[in-house]
Amino acid sequence: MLRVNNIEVCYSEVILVLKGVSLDVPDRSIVALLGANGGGKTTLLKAISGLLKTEEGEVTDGSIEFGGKRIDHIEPEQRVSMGISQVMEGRMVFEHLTVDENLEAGHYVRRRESSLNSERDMVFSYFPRLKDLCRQVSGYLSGGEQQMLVIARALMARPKLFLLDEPSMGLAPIIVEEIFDIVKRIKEEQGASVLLVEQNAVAALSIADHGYVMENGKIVLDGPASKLMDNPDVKEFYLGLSELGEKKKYSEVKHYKRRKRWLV
Amino acid sequence: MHLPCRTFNETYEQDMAIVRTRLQWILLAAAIVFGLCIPLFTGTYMLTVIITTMSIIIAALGIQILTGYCGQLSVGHSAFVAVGAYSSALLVSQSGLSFWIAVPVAGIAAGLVGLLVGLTSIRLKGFYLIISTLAAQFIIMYVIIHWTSVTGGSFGMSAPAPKLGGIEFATTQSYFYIVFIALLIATYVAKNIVRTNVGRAFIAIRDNDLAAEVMGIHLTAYKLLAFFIGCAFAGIGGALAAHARGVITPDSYTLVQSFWYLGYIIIGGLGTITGVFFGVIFVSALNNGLAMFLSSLSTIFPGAGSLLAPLMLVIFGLVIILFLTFEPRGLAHRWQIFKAYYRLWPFSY
Amino acid sequence: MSVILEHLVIGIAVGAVYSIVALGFVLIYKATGVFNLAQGSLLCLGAYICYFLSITVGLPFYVSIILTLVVAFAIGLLIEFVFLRRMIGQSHLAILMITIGLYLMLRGVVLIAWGVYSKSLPSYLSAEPINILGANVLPIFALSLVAAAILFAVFILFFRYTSIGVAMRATQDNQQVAQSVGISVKRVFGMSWAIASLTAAVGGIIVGTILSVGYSLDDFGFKVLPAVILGGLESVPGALIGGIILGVVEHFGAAYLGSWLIGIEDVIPYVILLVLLLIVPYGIFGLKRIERI
Ligand SMILES: Nc1ncnc2c1ncn2[C@@H]1O[C@H](COP(=O)(O)OP(=O)(O)OP(=O)(O)O)[C@@H](O)[C@H]1O
Ligand SMILES: [Mg+2]
Repeated sequence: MLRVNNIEVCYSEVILVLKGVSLDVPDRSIVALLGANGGGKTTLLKAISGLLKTEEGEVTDGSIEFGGKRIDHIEPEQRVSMGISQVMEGRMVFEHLTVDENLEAGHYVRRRESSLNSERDMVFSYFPRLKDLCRQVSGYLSGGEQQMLVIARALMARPKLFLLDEPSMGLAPIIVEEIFDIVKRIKEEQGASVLLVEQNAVAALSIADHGYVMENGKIVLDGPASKLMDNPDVKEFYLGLSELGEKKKYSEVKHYKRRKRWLV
Repeated sequence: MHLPCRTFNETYEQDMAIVRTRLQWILLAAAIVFGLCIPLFTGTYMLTVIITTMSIIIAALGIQILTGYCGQLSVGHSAFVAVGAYSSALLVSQSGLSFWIAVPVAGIAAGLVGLLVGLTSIRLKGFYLIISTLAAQFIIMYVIIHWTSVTGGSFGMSAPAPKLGGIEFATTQSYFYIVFIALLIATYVAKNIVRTNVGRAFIAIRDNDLAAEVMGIHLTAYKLLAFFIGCAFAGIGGALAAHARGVITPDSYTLVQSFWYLGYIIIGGLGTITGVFFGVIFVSALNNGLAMFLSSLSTIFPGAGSLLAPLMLVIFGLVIILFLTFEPRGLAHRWQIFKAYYRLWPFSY
Repeated sequence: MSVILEHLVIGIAVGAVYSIVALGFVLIYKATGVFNLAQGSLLCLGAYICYFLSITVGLPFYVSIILTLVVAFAIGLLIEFVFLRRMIGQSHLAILMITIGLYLMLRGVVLIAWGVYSKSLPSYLSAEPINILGANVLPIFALSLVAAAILFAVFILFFRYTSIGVAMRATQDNQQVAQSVGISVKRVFGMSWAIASLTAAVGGIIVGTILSVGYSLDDFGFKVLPAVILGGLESVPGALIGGIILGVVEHFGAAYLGSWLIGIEDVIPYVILLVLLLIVPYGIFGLKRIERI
């Protein structure tokens, strides 16, 4: 469904952030994208959704294909109507709008279809809690509720591809679990694909079919999620377990070792 | 900066020098000599145009310092020009003061009024500041128009030609020299303000006032200073233009005129002294070219001449927009590129 | 007593016109961050278009009003597309100067098209004063009150209940997020200018009726600034209240000071403004932004 081909991304024409990244998201699958802070995960998602432009970023090389069509030079709103929805990092609700209005804004690309109410009901079936809050101004919702709202808002466009950026950030484990369950249900029931960026590697890999690990603007490792779970490097750096099964601090790991192994 | 090949700044003095190489000295001297010779070969009409242009440059240097360097956007510049013009005219014609004293005093008067308006800049910035200078424009002009007993209201008042120990500088030629020398002095002063620590403080405030304050720049003092200097230049330019024309009326100091001043520095390039010259001369040339074109047209289409003012508005507005969109650094930047190209020619590296 | 009441009603009515124009201004500012100094030019242009359609072309007045609104809407779209589209993302001050360029251009265009002498719109209202709450005022003032009420009501409904309205508010909230849900920010910008131009035209028709249609109507855009500042630059209710306060104060000033300070009503707004700026720099309803270096 989505194919990213060896892309390079520059900010402000000088800062090279992605250096030849390739990635595939097959139909009806969840792909997890892991990696350290500043690795370029968000940048990759923005390159796919087209939001780079507002930050003076540009895809300078390579191509992005969605459903067989190149999309790297079309406007973000067109990509949304093609079926790509990005849920941005940091629970970006429209603060001054109510929950209902947020959902309506999410439905904007399909405003010509009279499906607003049915879609809203569909969304409420995933997030029943939002139904009670629908007249509230979204800026005052709790963090978990806001996260649900932004996912729900993206769902209103009935996307074929979800780009989820760190949905677990700053949330209690139980809510994270709830959200991940919903993501999985969305995949199964809507037949959508999900590209999931996460710091919480265990949770992400447990629902994902496939995983990629990104460092410094490059994909350094990829494979089926179950294999990645067992990979000693991933275990060590993302799951925080050493080969002996002990907890280990990230800072104790020698840098060159990581470098060497992953840049084979 | 762009220096010719094999010229390097090795000392602080060299780095700060306005005129750096011998060639530049020669060019400068030639320009001044050329300037001094202008009255010898131009007609009176042309000379009047040149005098007006020069006095506009002086006033525009003021808005360049205030807006281009210090970042305090003023849309009321022509009102300060008016304060200078009226003060000087009043001092000479009513109080019988000498022109030579009246003009600097007019500059100070305009500067003080500017200071007063600048007081609002202590608490405001950006859009809000624009509004306070806009308010100043309307209030000052209201006072000038309605204080009929002093200013003559909308009929205006006379601004007599200067005298120096019995010699009357009544002819356009002789007045040219006064304005020319004033322009030289004004440029020198402006250049020195912007290249010393005062100018650097202004630039710091323009680029980021909070950071500037944290760096220890006294924000209030420098902003007020910028207002004083900028408006004082406006006042002097206004006074010189007033005495050149002999009569002043409020309708030469409208809001549109203030926008015009802003336009000069946009077209010339914000934050450069040379840009002021480019901007004013460009617009003045445009205006006079258009006037000539229309007057030649009016033999075929009678009444074409009356189109001058509105057509100029359209063109000027369009030019401002085009510059902002395609060359926000103004003509001065084009000039730099041209110089660099010329210097390296035929080796374009 | 009834004299004071009369002044009050007229003041409110004049203020209603200010509110209408201020509304357009706030719309553009909120949605696009542009401080539009050419708002008055849009008003002036609207008044002239109405004059052109009703007098020059000779259409029935009500038809020409509706056509004027349509044309004004289109002009707003056009101006945004031609002059402001390229500036998206540029510094706010640069865009402000673009609007100054627009102001100059539009004034030139109006002068070329219609000359310096002012025109009058057809007299579509009777000159008989009517009675509002015991005050005798000219019908045009009643009309301006009604027009302002209708406009504000329509806008409130528009922004609550239409998807483009919600999209515009979403864009005001956060442009990037709006893009991420598929809202075309460019279209929102265009719509903002179109609507602002439309409200300006309504203002233009009313002001053109009260005064007459002349090129200097474009200064009205500056007179409205005090109202906008008073209300806080980005508040729609603020625009309404600011406009009305301004109208009332100005009218009372004209009524009680105008006899020995001729034309004082033209500067009262600015005097108020300067005083205001020194006391409440960010308006009554304005937000003070937290700034970081
Ligand atoms: N607008 C921008 N301009 C310049 N550089 C940027 C911009 N946005 C991001 N970067 C740089 O690009 C790099 C990658 O950033 P990105 O946000 O993609 O990382 P990330 O993998 O999402 O990190 P995190 O896990 O912390 O969210 C960082 O070094 C960042 O500083
Ligand atoms: Mg990120």
